Amino acid sequence: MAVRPSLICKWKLLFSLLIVISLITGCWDSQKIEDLTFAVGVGFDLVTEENSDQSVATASSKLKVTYQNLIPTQTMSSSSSSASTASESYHNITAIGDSVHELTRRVSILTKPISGEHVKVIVIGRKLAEKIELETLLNLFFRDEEFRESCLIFIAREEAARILSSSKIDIPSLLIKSISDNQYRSTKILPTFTLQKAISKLQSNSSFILQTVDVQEGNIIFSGGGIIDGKTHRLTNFFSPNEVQGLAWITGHKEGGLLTIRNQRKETLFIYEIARIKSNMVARVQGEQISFHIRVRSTGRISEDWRNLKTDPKHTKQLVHQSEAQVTAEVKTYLQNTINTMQRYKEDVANFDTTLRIQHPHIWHKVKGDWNRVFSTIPITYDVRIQIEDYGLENMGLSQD
Amino acid sequence: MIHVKTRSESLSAMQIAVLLANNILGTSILLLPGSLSLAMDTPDGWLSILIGGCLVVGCGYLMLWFSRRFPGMTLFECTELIMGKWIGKAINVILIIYFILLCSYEMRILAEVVNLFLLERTPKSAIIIAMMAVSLYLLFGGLNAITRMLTFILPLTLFVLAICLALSLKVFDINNLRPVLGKGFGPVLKGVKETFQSFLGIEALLILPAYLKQWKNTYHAVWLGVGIPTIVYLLTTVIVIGGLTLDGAKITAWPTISLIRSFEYTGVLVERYDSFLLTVWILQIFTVYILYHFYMVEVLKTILAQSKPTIWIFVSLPVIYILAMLPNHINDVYSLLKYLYWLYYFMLLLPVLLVVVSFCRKDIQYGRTS
Repeated sequence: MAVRPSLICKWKLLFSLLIVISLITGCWDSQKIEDLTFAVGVGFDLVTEENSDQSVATASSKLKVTYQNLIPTQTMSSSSSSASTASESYHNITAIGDSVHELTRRVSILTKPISGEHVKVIVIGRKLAEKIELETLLNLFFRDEEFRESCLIFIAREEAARILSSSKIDIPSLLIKSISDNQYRSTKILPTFTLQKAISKLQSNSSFILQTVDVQEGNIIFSGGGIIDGKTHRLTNFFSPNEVQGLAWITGHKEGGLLTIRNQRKETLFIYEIARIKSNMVARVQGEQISFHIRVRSTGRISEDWRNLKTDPKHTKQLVHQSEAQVTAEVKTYLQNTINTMQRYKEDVANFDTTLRIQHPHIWHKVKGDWNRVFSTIPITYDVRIQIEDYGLENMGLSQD
Repeated sequence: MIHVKTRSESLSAMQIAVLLANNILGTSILLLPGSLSLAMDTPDGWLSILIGGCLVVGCGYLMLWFSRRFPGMTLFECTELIMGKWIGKAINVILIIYFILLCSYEMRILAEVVNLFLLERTPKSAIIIAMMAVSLYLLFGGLNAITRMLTFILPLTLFVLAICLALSLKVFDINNLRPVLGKGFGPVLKGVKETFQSFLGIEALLILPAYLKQWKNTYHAVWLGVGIPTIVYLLTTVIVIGGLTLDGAKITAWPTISLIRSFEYTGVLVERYDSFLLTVWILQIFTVYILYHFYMVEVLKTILAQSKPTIWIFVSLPVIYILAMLPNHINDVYSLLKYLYWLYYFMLLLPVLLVVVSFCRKDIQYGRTS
């Protein structure tokens, strides 16, 4: 069938109209950047009688959310006449309600629309984490495409709201994020834990550990870890900073951090600066009996020496060996301490389950339903080998080069 | 005896490979890691993809063999020739339904994803209509224009996809992929079925060879056309499961996007990469859509024995649009997919039927009469 040319022209016209119509609608749902509020951190708390705000809280209220919003610098400079307001770079908005999503809606009555695209940090108050399942809490964040899966999750020792309002000059959320980026400097900081990781862990019902944050004398400090139980999905126990340190030695893959070696009288002898830790876990199965062996290898240097050394250079080698033995012994106490704590709490937060799953999948299928209980009785052995590569000892270790 | 006119447009073997790869790569880039993990419950998805890929290459060879038996004829022309006018037309109508459903499916998934991640408040209808209008324009350019466009798009997709996947190595952990064959070989076979379905688009080899200038290197084209998607699927699945863990891949609706969103690069030029991934993915949806729309037009031409069924193309647009908007929920779309796969298998098995019938019927002469 031949189509008449005029008809083709008509179609072409219609066609271009279609395209033009769809193009000119381009920015209809644009939002001006000065009208937006960017949240950088979100905190959740449980509202109890004593800390509930006078009028806002009703009897049925359970959750309290704190949004930490950035104040754009432009508004800051415009109001710079008064010095006190100019120094504040964020403001927090709090709402109380039953569900997370309802809370976000309640916040929208209080302020300009909040954009969750830039939320970097989620802080969960201790009481809340102990009471409700983490999955329920994080569900909104995970489902809502506005929040990215890359935001980091922390547990607040006390109240999340307090942590998010701890500092006047720095923005607490961003401060927390940058501290956690420091993890290569200290073994006391746990590896960063993203929303994505948390959801995966919750889904596979394995326990995990989240970094806890606390405020002391107005400063944010990282103080150990909070253990989320794999079965109940609630916060059950805490790790002290020392136990976190031991955990770093078990899981390995760590670069950086310090280890202070002390003598019996608790005097500092020297500081072992970790270049890297490599640990290797082996699961052994004999009949029904599962056992683990951890091989820890680490290289590092002595970065600071408090021993008043007067040895002559000939004994340097011997001294290094001696130091290595001391470090090894210290690491072993950390390891043992952490392993004991984990088994006492019946929480496997060092990925022993992954090791077993990979190395003995069949055994794993038998025990996975009751893993945390099984884990608490499994014998765990370890050997540690420390290598001090960088002595600084040639000149008696008294000066650093 | 049907007289088939000579085709004004022709393809080289290389172009067939490009079209084939474009036709296969579609929604599965985002969905395959999740559906594989769900079906298999082990991280061995990559093995299934390898096996599935080889299987599909085999299928491709068979299809080429079929096309070679009936040189210069598309599958639709063969059906009408071999099955007789009326049965052939009936079968072709089924194929039209299949292509229209596929078009709607692609449009709906596109609208869902764009709505979810990019244009939150833009109505789905606006997204779909804009996309359909653009591809309609290209469709009127004919096969050569489509081929040019797709040849331009494919390297772009592969390049951006490679970058996105390489950046995802930041969250990659090989332990998430282990143990290999922890549950034996059973789940792998289950995964092969899933993989085979994600190679939807291989049926292009029943239609496109009709446009071939010469048969040289056509079998290599199958290797290339199937090989590219296989590698893309393989890398995507490995990196997604390695980054999200098996359980993570299972519960996320769009695993690949979730993966790209689960890391940030601070201090680099760009911090977030999900929009790049989505951009090329939308291009791929576009390519799949336009190819299926093109096939639909081809069937129409055969059924109506017209060279330009313009009116019918315009009639098909609202049908596609309505079908795309019909499901209320994304889950309904996925259940529609199940029927689509039946039609897919039907189309793959159709040549077998045709060959058998053609052996029985001695009265037909096939081949192009020019």
